[in-house]
Amino acid sequence: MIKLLNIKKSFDSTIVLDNLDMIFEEESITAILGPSGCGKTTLLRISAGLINADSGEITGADREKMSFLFQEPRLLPWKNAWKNLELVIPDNVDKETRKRLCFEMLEKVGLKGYENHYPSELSGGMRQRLSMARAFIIQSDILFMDEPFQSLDLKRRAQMISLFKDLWIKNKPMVIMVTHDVQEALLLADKLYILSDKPTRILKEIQNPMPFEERTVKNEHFYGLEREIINEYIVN
Amino acid sequence: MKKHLQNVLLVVFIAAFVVLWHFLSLGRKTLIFPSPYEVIVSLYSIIASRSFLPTVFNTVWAVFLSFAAAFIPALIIGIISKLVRFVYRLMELVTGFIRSIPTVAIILMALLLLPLSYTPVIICYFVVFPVLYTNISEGLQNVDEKLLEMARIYRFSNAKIIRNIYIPSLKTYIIAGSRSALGLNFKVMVMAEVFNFANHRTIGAQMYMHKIQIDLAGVFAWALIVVAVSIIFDLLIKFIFRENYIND
Repeated sequence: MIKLLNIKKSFDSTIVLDNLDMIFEEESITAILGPSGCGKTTLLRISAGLINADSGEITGADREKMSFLFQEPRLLPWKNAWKNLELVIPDNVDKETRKRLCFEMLEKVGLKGYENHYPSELSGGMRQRLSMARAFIIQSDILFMDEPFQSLDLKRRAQMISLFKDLWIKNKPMVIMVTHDVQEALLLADKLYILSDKPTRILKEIQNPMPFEERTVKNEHFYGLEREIINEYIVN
Repeated sequence: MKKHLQNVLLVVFIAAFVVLWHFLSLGRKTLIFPSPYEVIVSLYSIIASRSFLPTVFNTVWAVFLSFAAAFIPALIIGIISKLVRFVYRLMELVTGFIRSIPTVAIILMALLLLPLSYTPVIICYFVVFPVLYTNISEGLQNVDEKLLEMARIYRFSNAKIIRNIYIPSLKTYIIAGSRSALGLNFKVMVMAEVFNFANHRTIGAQMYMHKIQIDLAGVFAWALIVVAVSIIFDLLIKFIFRENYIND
């Protein structure tokens, strides 16, 4: 479990995060939902230890294995698909196993046959899938996601979300994701934190009433929940 | 435009240039302006002479020495400049200064101050070093922060970061820097050799000999040889560092 306590962060004189408390549970997906520019990404970077908060306390975040799905795929342009995956596998794993793991993972994300392609030779969607493969290949303890499906069209996003679910269910790493998309949050997260505009506070903490397997747009509660969140916390 | 058509057009333009040159030389008022034919004859006699290869070798070797002498410190100081901000700012000043000095001033000073046989190498060092240093240091400053952040998240070791992120991103800058530095290196080397009488078997010295005999065809012929040698080396660099991915 990771706990954030009284997290404060300012850039210059602007208070971005104002006394935030959050709890992220093991084997669970938490979505941080908020308007653009409210400091979601800053919060995520603080949780991942990439930047420091001005004050406050973080406990339980010192993890051995972390992975991150960024807004962009962040692949090395000079490495082909399987080498991009292989890079994140710890050095003590032997050569044969590394290769096998990479090829298996590429097959899972639908990139079989593209092992030797460079990122520039892959489509945008394929690069995102490769980036997702990289996030899951190391069986990390914690996965951070910074609006990873944002740049995709509706159909591709639905595909990516279902791919994500298939990969996540195997090891269930703790996931902290930030998004401004209510649907995305409802389709994935067990718990949603809804944030206000700057200075950012938590407006509401919601447990997703839909069980993991039933989180689809076809669920009878889905649109009701979406409308409720939008009306109560986002439009006003 | 289709590549084939482009090639045809290029040949047409070159042919037109040679024809124009030919007619200009027909109407010459002075004796010395050579026709294309005279240049080709001169080129043939230069290449056929026994001293041709040693002459070209001497110049190429001096270019290689000065290039290597500039490249290694440029790389080392470039790396230090990435680590120490002060060095970066200091070197900006130093390279800016060296760049602004007229090359001929460096040549004249070097001729007076230094032992004769090494002057061309040292002159070239001063011209080539800033080009190489600037490219290497810019390359290091411009390494993609997003990739470095990704590497930190996935717990890459420092060696892994250097091998997989720094070196590949630096490569494009080193290639670009080396290509422009080498082109400059050849030009300045020949110029420095013109002023250097310690060794007659250099391209620059040969040009000077043709010049004092008012044999412009010979000067033109040597100029063509320098162009050819530069192009060969440029292609060599491109070949050595060829990439199999497209950087987008």
